Order: sequence, then C-alpha cells, then structure tokens
Amino acid sequence: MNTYVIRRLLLLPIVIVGATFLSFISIWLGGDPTLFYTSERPSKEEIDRVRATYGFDRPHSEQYLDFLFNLARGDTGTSLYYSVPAFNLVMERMPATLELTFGSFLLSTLLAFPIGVIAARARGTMTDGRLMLGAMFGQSMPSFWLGLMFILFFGVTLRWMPVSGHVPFLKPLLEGDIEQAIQNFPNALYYLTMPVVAASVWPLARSSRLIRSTVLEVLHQDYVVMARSKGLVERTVLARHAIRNALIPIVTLLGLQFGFLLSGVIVIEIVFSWPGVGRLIFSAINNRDIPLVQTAVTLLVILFVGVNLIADLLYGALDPRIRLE
Amino acid sequence: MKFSRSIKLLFILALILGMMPLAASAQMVPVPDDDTLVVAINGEPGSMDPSQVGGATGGSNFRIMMHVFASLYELGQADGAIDPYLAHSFSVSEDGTEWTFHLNEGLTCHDGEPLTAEDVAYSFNRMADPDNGFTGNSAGFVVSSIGYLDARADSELDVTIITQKPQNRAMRLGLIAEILVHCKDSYEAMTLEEAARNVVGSGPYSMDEWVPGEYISMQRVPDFGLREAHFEELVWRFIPEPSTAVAEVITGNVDIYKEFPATQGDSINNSGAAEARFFPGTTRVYIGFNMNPEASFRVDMPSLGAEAIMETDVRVALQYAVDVHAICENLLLTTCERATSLVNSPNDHPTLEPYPYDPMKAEELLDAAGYPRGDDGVRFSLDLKARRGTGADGSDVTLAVAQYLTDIGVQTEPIFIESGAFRTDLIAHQLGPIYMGRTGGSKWSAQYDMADIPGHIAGGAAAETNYTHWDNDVWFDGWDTLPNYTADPEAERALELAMLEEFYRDPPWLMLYAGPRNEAVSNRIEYQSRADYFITAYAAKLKE
Repeated sequence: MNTYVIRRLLLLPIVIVGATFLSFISIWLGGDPTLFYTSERPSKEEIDRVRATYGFDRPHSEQYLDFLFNLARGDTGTSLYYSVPAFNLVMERMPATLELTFGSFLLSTLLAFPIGVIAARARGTMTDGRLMLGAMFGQSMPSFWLGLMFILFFGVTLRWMPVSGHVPFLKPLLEGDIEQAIQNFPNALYYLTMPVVAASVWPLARSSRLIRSTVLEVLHQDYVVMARSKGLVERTVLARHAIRNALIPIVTLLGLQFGFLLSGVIVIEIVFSWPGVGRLIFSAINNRDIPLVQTAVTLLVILFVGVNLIADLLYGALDPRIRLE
Repeated sequence: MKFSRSIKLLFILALILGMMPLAASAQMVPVPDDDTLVVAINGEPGSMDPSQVGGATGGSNFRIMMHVFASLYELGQADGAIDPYLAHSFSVSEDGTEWTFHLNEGLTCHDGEPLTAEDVAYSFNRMADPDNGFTGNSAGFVVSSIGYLDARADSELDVTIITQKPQNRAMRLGLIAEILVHCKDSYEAMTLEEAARNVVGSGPYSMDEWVPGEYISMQRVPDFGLREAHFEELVWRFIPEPSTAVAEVITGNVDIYKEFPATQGDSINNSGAAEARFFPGTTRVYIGFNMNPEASFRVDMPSLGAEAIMETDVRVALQYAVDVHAICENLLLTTCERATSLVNSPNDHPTLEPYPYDPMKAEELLDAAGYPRGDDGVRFSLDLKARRGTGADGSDVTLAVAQYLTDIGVQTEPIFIESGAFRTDLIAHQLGPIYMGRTGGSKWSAQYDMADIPGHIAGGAAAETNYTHWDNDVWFDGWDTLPNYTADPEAERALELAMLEEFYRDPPWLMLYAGPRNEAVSNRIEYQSRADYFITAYAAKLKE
C-alpha cells in the first residue's frame, strides 16, 4: 500500500502543473491583466511602467516557468491585488471554506444514505417515487438560486436566520484557541446553516440517486437472497450484506463529490458573503491576480487529490479482496 | 411498516439537524446598535496603504480610506465644493507651478505623532516615488495630471507642492484632494507589505479591525476637530452579491448601500427599513465614434459605416436618433438629463440645448450627408462594441441604442466583449467603429471632465485617453492656451465654453447622460447622498 500511496503522491506535481497551466492560460485569454492595475485614464508611460512592475512584459512561458520554479522552492508569490503573500491569503480563508465544504459533505452524505436505501428498498412504491422526485428537484435547482430563495424566505421574510456573514469556528480551533472555538460554536452553526443547506441540496440529490441504484443492484445478488433465506432480519441483511457491498462505488462518488463541493461552494460563498477561498478565487480572477489564482488552485488541487487518495485507501478497508499496489 | 419507521427516523434526523442551529439562535439576528453605522460595499479593498489608491487595489479602497486618512483639501458633499481640510488655505506662486498649503495647528496622526508639513511632503513623495511601485489613481493619474515634481516642507505648517505647469485651480485642488496624508515616522518604520494591512491614519476614524473577506471596523477618533463624526463605530461590510446586500438593507443590518440593482428599489422602499434614492451621478456615458484612420477595423475590413462616422454631419445626425429619456425611464428606472458635452453639470455649457430625439431629422440629415437608405432600407452598417453588464452603460442600454440607430437605417450590431479586451482596444484606439463608453467625471471642475481629450502637448488625437482619436484643432489649441489663463478665471471660462461649443458642433461622442446613481439609506439615519462615487459616512447621523 505504501508503494501505491507514494506513486499517487508522485503524480501530484503533474496534476498541479496541469491545473495551474490551464488557469494561467485562461487568465491571459481574458486579456492583458496590466490594465486592471493602472489608473482609470492611464497614459502609455503608466501602462508600460505597470506592465514592467508586475513582469507582464516578459514572455508568457517565462512567467509560468518562474511560477513553477518558485513554487518548487515553496514561494507562491505575492498577490497583485492584496500586496501580501498569496499563500497566507489562501490559508487565511481556507478554514471558512472547509467549514462549509465539510458541513455540506456531512449533511448531504448523512441524509443521502437513508434516502437512497429507503428508496431502493421501497422500489416502485409511492415512497420511492416521492423520494426520487425530490432528488430530481434537488438536482435541477441551481444552488445560487436556492441560496437567494433561502435568504428571501428565512432571512428577510421570517427573520429566523442571518442573511449573510460568518462566525469562525475552525480557525480558532486550528490556532489552538479551543475556548474561543467552543464559545463561537453555537453562532458558527447558526451562520453556517443556510449556506450548508443550500450547498448540500445538489450533492444530496445526486448521492441519494446513486446510493439507491447501487443498493438496488446489490439487493438482487445471490448472497443477499442467501442471507434472507437464512432467516436474518431485514435490517441485518441490509446493514451487514447489502450496504457494505454497495459502499465501494459510493465511496468513489463521495471522494469526487468533495471535490465538486470545493469548487461548487464558490457560488454559495458569494451569495452568503462567506469569507472563503472560493470567493477569494472569484475576486482574484476578476482582478486578474495571477499569483493568487495559481496559489489557490494549487492548494485546492492538493486538497482534492488528498481526499481522493483517502477514498482510494478506504477501498481496502471496505473490501479486503482489494489490494492497492 | 418497517420502512415507515425508517422514514420517521429520517425525518427526525433531518429535524434534529435543522433545529440545532435554530436552537442555538435563541438570540435574534443582530442589528447595528445606535452607536454603529454599517455600510455595505461589493468589493473588498486589496490594500489600505494610503499611497495605493484605486487601480491595483480596486476603486473601493478610497471610499474607506477617506475615513481614516485626511487630505489637504476634500471634495465636499455639495456639488462642486472643494473644502479645506488639513490645510486651511493655500497660495500659488507667480508662475503657477508652486502651491503652498498652510496647515491647521495641532494636527496628529492616530498613533499620537504630530502631523506636520514634513509628513505631508513625505506623503506626496512616498506616493510618487517609482521605487515604491505604487499604481492606481494617486501614483498613476494624479502625479501625471498635476505634473508633480516634488514636495517640500517650508516650515512646520507650510508645505509646497512643486509642479511642472500651472493649472486650473479647481482641477488641481480636486486632484490634490485625492492624496491621503500620513505620518512619516510610522510609515517609514513599515515595509510596503506591512503598510498594506496596518493603518496609522490621520482622519476622523481610526482603524479597529480588518477581518479579511468580511468587514473593516473603525472607531471614532476622540477630539478630531476637522470633521464631526457622529457614530462611535463605523463598519464596512464586504458583500459581493448585490441581492444579498439589498436583503441586509431590508433587514436593517446595513445603513448605506450605494449602487444597488435599480430593479430592487421598490423592495427597499416597501420594506419600511430604508429608502431607495435615485439621483444623477458623475460617470459620463456615451457612444464613442472611433475616428482613428489606422484602426484595424478601418484598414483591414473597410466599411461604409466606418467611413461615414468620420464625417461631422453624420455624427450630428446620429445624435437625433436616440431617445435618451426613454432609455433612462424604462431601463434605468429614473429620469436623467441628456448631456450637451463631456462636462457634467454644474460646469457644463449653460446655454447649449441637448440634441432632441427626432428620428425624422436624423434621417433627413443622413440623406443630406449622402447616405440614403438602400433598397433593403439600410444606409450603412456599424458594429457597436460594449461590455456586458448592468447599469448606466449596461447591455440593455447597448441593445436599445443599437435598435434606435437601426430604426433610422443605420444597421447596428451590438457586440459584447470581455472587459479586459475592451479596455485594451479602447486605450489602443482600436475599439469600434462605435462603442459604448463610460468615464468617471466630476462636479468640481470642467477641465477635469474635459481632460479625457487633452491638447496637442499631451498627444492630441493620439493621446491615450482620446479613445475616439478625435482630431480637432479648435479643441487642441484651446487646451494649449488654457494654462495661460489660470490667473484670469473669466477668460479661462470663456475659452472652456468655446471648446465645449466645438465639441457640440463636431461631436466625437453620441452624447447620452451622466449615469444615474442610486443609494439605499436606512430610515434610522440622516445622510446626504453624493453624486460621485464616494460615501461620506462620517457625516451620517441618527435621526432625532
């Protein structure tokens, strides 16, 4: 297994190069970033000066290779917009994004399992129909629209929930200030609720449908029929024989889902003014802040690859027949 | 039966998850108290360095920084006012190149350091020093616009700004008002990176906390005698989504929000929590006629339309084709005055009448200019380049203008391009043949507004900011003569008016309007909205 992990980790730089290269090209395809850093009525002299200041006058290949070289030394550069190290900016915002992503991941996964299993077990009944109709609605509703509707209904009309904002929980926890984290927890949860629910609906719908179809497939396997014929109660049949065998494709999906959530929360962060990495990337793209975009992309790639690696490693735990080599 | 039990369990789980936060929210959603004023803005500033204003840090930081830093003079709230601030007066050398400002006594920065002429000189020189690499409006625009050379402290309270050229007084004062003054000792002790986040100010509020991605809070400076700040605490919340910001206004969590989506005005007014204000702004919106003879659309893809707009008669004819009032009322949901030139009121030409909407006359003039309708009803075709977006120069306005022109036989195709590419082509004088333009303006100086198209010395037709490549000797000669009249305001104004008449007679722009602004203001406060981009939050106070 160690060989497998090392091999996967060795692939990481290739993924980083691919992702950062694409984002670098995409920013330049949008036009020369220089004009975002000049005054409103720039003279040619000012444009030339700004271009030289930020190194935009150098060949694109040289700029990109420079980034890679510095990245290898652990230097991701300074944000053009914020004038501070890009790495610090991303790490400053990462806890808020993780709160939102983990929250949505947890909520969608916890609810998707019972929904999927119930729907599979009740296949063809009214219960199944209702649950899958709900899932279809969930997959059809854009999260930004849903977010705005939540704000309108729960925030503006009922005044039950805050319209926007954030109370940090993970950040003080990571900084070792446990007392502060505990103190913030109720309010953090309060502010987290609407964004998490809005971000969870789509993955919840997707996971429920996949879990339903996977469990359905397993329920018709011989070993399940055998378990039932042994006289085991239905709950035991489901828990010990059906669900466990259905878990492998589900774990793969959940690993990928985490990545989708990481990118998907960008919209949610904007709608709810959530101070996360997604919003930071969005403004960095708007400001053509190349070092910041590249740094954020690099760190998100590492996170995404890491989570999927964990998902792969879980296969072995779920099914001893699988050996990772 | 088994599964109905499971469904029950599922709903109980969902209920628990749903109720946990609600239980935690025993406190209601917090609203600002009577000592706190909350202002929402869409973008977070990148830097709070007083020398890095606009540009790289986004336009929003001056709005915030003008509350923690003071300037020698300040753009006042009343239209056209430029009020004394750190300086109580100024004098100008005989040749008009040296401006000496006389500071008020007893000034200090927020760390207690006395603020003297030496600090003012340092602020100017730090901002203009190319080694610091500052970009944006102060270093990029003000320095070149005033022809800045140096600043020196003549005494404890007298500082002289040395420039290359004499200049219109209002224009120079207005530009100098954009330079934020800070103390030498505190800023010399900081690196540029530290100065981007650590603020030692000189204004009515001192920096309290900057929570990245969320807000900046400020505390009122006790005994700041130059301006009266009414709220103890001032909070700037960064809310990128306009609909969310409007929701915060409606729920009473935000007191001031400038530039909300116009369609949400009724929601704000009906909420009872705030008032939606609509008023004329300072950003000039126009259709530019690109007359660059070497533009690629003219050289590589010659067209009748691109040639037609080179003629004054055609450009005048097109002025009659667009119903500006209908655009304002139906698309911008407010009324607006049609512009007669590139200068905003109250400094615009007092007697010129805006071109009326008269499509029949437009057609007659085009016939007379030698561009009759063809068999297909088309006189000639034009591409109208524009940025996609909303507001005074938004996509719907572009589409409306294109339709008005098409209605008189000028087949106009709106082409929306990405904002970066738009600016690149604009500055290279390659955008066109016609484009939807907007440019920041003022209420305090005609020449500031006129400076979009400078004189021969600044490049004439080829000047970077003369995006239409308009070539007009009356205009250019006028600019070259204006500096001679800085000591004679009447002669100076007469020449400005003559230049504006020429602009009207031979228009490089299809003149539209000063883009309307809007602002949502909480019903609990008294606050005077400004026509320009700024927010003078320190002047807001609770209603009696």
